[in-house]
Amino acid sequence: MPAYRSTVLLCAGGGCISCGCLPVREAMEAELKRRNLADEVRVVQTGCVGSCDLGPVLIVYPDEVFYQKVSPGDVPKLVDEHFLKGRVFERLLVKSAETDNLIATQREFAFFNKQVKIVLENCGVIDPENIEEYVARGGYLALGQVISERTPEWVIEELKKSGLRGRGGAGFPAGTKWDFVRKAPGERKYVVCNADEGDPGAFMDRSVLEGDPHRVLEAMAIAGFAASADQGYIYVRAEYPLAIRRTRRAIQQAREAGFLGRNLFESSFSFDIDIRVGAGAFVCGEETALLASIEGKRGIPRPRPPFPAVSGLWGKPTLINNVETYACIVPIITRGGDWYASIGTEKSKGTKVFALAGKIRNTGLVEVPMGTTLREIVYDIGGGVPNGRKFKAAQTGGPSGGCIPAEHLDIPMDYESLAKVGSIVGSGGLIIMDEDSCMVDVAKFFMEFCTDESCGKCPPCRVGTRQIYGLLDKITKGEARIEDLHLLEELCGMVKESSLCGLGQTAPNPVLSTLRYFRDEYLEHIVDRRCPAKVCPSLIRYSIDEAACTGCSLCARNCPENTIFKVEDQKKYRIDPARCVKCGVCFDVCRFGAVVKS
Amino acid sequence: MSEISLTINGKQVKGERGDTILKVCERSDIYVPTLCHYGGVHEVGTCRMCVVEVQGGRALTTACTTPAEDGMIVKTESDAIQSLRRATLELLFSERNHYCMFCEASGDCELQALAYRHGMDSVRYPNLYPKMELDTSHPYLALDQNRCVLCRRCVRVCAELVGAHSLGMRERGIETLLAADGGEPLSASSCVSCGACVQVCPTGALFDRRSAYRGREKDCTTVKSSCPECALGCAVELVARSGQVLRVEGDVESPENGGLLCRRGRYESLNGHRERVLQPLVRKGGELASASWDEALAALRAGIEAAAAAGGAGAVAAVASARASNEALAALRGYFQQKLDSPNVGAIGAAASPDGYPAATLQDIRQADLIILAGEDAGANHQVVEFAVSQAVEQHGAALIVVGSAARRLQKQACVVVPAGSDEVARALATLTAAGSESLKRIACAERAVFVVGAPVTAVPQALAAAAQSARDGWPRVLALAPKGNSRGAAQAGLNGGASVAKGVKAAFIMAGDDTEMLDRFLPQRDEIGFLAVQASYRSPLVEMADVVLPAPVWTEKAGTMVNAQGREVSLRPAVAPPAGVRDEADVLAALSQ
Amino acid sequence: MAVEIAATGSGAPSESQVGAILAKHPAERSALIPILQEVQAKLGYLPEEAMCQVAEALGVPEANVYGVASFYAQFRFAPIGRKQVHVCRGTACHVGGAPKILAEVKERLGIGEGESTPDREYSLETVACIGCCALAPCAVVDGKVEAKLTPKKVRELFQGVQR
Repeated sequence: MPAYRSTVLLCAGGGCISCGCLPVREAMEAELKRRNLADEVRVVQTGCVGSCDLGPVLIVYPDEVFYQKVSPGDVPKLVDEHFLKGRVFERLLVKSAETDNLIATQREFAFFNKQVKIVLENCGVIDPENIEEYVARGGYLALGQVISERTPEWVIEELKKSGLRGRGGAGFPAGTKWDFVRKAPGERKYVVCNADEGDPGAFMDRSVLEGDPHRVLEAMAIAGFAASADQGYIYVRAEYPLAIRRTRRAIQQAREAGFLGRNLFESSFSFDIDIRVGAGAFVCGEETALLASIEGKRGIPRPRPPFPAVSGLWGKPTLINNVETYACIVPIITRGGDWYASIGTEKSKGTKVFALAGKIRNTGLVEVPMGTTLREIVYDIGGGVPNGRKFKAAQTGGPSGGCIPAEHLDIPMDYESLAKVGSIVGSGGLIIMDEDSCMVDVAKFFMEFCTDESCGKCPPCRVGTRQIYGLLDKITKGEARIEDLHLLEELCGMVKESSLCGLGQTAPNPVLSTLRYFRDEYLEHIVDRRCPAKVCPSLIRYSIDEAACTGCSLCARNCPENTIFKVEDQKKYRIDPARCVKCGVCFDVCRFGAVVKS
Repeated sequence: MSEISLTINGKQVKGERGDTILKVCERSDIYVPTLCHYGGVHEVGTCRMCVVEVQGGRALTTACTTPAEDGMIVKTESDAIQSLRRATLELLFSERNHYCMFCEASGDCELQALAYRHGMDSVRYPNLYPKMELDTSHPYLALDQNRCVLCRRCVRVCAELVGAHSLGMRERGIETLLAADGGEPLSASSCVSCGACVQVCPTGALFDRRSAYRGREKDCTTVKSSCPECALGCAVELVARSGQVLRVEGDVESPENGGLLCRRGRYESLNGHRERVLQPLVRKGGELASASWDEALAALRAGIEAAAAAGGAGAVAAVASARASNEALAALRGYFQQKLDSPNVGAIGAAASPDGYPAATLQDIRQADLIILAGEDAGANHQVVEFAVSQAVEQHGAALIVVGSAARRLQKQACVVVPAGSDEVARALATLTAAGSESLKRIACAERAVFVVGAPVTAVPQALAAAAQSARDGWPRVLALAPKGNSRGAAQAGLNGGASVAKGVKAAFIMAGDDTEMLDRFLPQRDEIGFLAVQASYRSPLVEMADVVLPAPVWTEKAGTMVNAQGREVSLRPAVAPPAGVRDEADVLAALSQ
Repeated sequence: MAVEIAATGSGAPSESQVGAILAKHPAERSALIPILQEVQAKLGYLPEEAMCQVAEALGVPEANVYGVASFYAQFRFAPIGRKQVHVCRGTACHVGGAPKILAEVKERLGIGEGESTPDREYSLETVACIGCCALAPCAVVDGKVEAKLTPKKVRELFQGVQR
């Protein structure tokens, strides 16, 4: 490999690609060639760096200079400044949220420097489409060592020592699960990777597969060794075409390199992996439904026991973990279970990746030690709530989770603490909400999601979620009575207790937790017929503050129902409340704050 | 199997390892409400009615899917459990149209009964139900999705017990619907019309068209009888009201057919409009006219005995259908063989069982590890055999070898298929047994081989039987298909199954009963037979040409016994009285002998 | 996710096309979903005859093939538009105003969810989450992620679309 003076890491995660990073890459390569720098500066297309709202993002090594929102047009100037003149191109740097100072390097950027990257250590650093880069970072060493020097028992012991718990939601100790599968009687066993990341708001699994797929393949092979399985399946959502493509390519490369296939590392151990693409069913994130789907059936969960560890794919013992769990395996094997256990809290070890989104300044993927407080994530890493708004709640765990109010901002983010406040770590979705978010509307949103995604097998989930949704809808329309609130609580409890699978059992959580912390908001909807966040269309009205209206007519031109008219003899506009459909377009387009919601 | 002991509701009870909690409760007569559970098909844990509390468990669990363990402490009733069950019912009632008073199943509905039992006195949620069309395309059964609770009993029975796989679920969530094939109307689907789905439906979603709205079970009488449509003699329950048989159901307690019936047994014998013969008829002046029993019997005796007097015993013939009961056949023989000494007494469809092997039951077929099907298409006239074979192959992994014209479905499941028309079957069987053939090897290593043979195959070829000798004691077993309910009984009575009346016969008595298939075959011979008497349940062309016609009861009106294909005696029991003027065949013939 | 439509554009079901796909897979139940996915990628949707052909080839009952196909949101039983619009309704997008985006797309295209424009140029669907939460609200239009949408951006995106 020729020695390069500099390396440009160009983030090609799903977010940056949609912001147009590929044209930036082309421009960069063309420009470097034009300036005869092609032999000195190398451009590497990496997986997700994590700061998805700043894309397209470039990091120039060895100095770790972090450039954001780069457009192809910026490239000639950037090459000129950075590589020829040897100085940082300031126009594309990030500004600090607190001080307005420019941040030159990734290290100085609070979004990155508070993070501890284990799962994402290679994401944004290596080219995910090139196995050599993974190998150069020590990839497949762990697999080789395990196969030639260790026993399956040793692997499981290390895993137990690490205290790693499944990152898919339930937090079951990974070592124990692996041990179950190992000890389950049966000739044929399977290893499955759950990459059916369906929680709206979570995308860490996608980023790992897009940015570092070999890490998952290697971990699955190690799992195969530990559980004596010779076949693995990765079940990926169809909505992740890039992750599917890169994982496919990685499997191909690993086979060619002899890291997958027959007699790995000249041992008697063979292991191969196939991809199965999900077909659009959230419930397939539930392990028994996922297995049914791999078998070519409707993705319908079945009661456990028997657990997949005993009877899984085609009735054979099957080890299922999700992507993030597998992504922790190689570091644990390489650096030891004790090292991993030294990170995190007493019962929640290691790091957790959160997908930070919503009303927050820095959005994207953040990986922090378990037990990091919500406040640190929101304010130190996330840069706080933008536009001078106030933090209202953080929603964790997606449709299975709950809302954490401001009073619990200092809660450590780990399994036990979140459970205590009525939420869950879940897969790591972390949506920040400000005063403009209506909690009843949020609960209704999640319930609509669960209703659509219910498999329809058991009545509590199939009918219960629909009836819960109906009650919430009534509340947001100002048509509910106080009895409906009691009925809502009773029904939520019932659905939670008697549903067959995790989807139904957790579906009421968003309602129960918002009821717990924002009961007053529900009551306001019911008793006062008012939506304090001014979100629920039936309970708000739009009007135009004539003092502020400049008569620019933008609102009238944008109104889909033509309900905004010009007041005669004046350069002012007015909304006909009887015909207004409350779409809010006028509110959004007005540049003078003249459209008022009340 | 080892015994385990549990504490259920504070009571010490026993079970067997491998039992579910529900099974243990059933064994110990502890009531646990169920809706989706159905014996014989796999448990799905869908309806959540059987939730119970297991001490130390994380949450409530379904008794139907949770394995019972030694030392388990279980509570099947508590306020919390009751209220959850009630809440589940309330949700079900809010989902679709469960206004009971307009429902066919009202009174017999398991959902309704559960609601009463759990004190579900109101539904606090809005009714969600969209209006769904009825599927009344099928001649015998109908599907009303509005009443469906999505328990999937029908789907599982159709797939696991019947092997038809016609029913399935489509869409998901609240949109989930029962569907046949790709959503076709039932009549256009692959439905085999066995009616098993109707019998297991807990609500009024799938119902029998003929008996719909004609009474609840408690208004009806139920009589156990046996189906005479073929020699399997499936156990049935005849449900009747006001002198009418409303429907035929499979007897779920039967270890043989276990509640399954075929299209013919369940539907065809009751449906269809055939005109009954309701009183004796005697030809007077060229016309058939009503007559009294005495007149008719006198005319019969006169006609027969005159022919015997003129042409000897050989001029008289009597032919019965092998559907006739042992008692009727005995009475027939009593008069014609014993009294008149006629050599021409036969029974159409009489068939002896092949010698030398234990007879295979349907249960044996289901448990077999190898099934060899030779000869006629079991799927055509012995659907219940086809169901058992499918179950063995699909659910238990049995190997299947098909020689002959078996149904497409069985051909698909077979590992070896030798297609052959009826004249080629013998040769096809021979190729199968060619030394060193793959099939021969399979047969040699089978432990529980079953031969199912049907026309024209009457016996198991020597080579095949020899190959199966290595099987366990008591195996291989053989099921010889036979066409009529009492084919075996007729053969045991020494009646031959030949089809025609011998040359030179001048007077014939045909005991057709309710066998509608046998009369036509005598039409061409009508003119050669001088005097013709027919004992029949239905009018037919031959009846119109007879000199004396005696009305006969149909099988649901009769008492008697038959011998089924396995050589076991099964009983016919009357569910309703025959119409006035119709007398039992055996009684009538016995009267002749005196 | 971006569906490649058969060159003819008519989406005419073709036995040989389905046959070619079947030939690539083992004839077993577990191949059912991948096969249906490929058939849809080829034909744009799942015609009834194609499903029957798959059922026959795999020995899977037709009721089950149909049951599977109708269970998963990805499969469709009618031809789709040449360009597909998937509006994300994930949490971040919802909080960021996805309902308005969806309403605007419907308004612009004049169709509802699961429908296609009469000229079969566009079809509209919502998806649970496309995993671009940091770019909320977003949609995928003809295979390309459109980030941080506003009703105005939507209007620009579909400018000139004949309704």
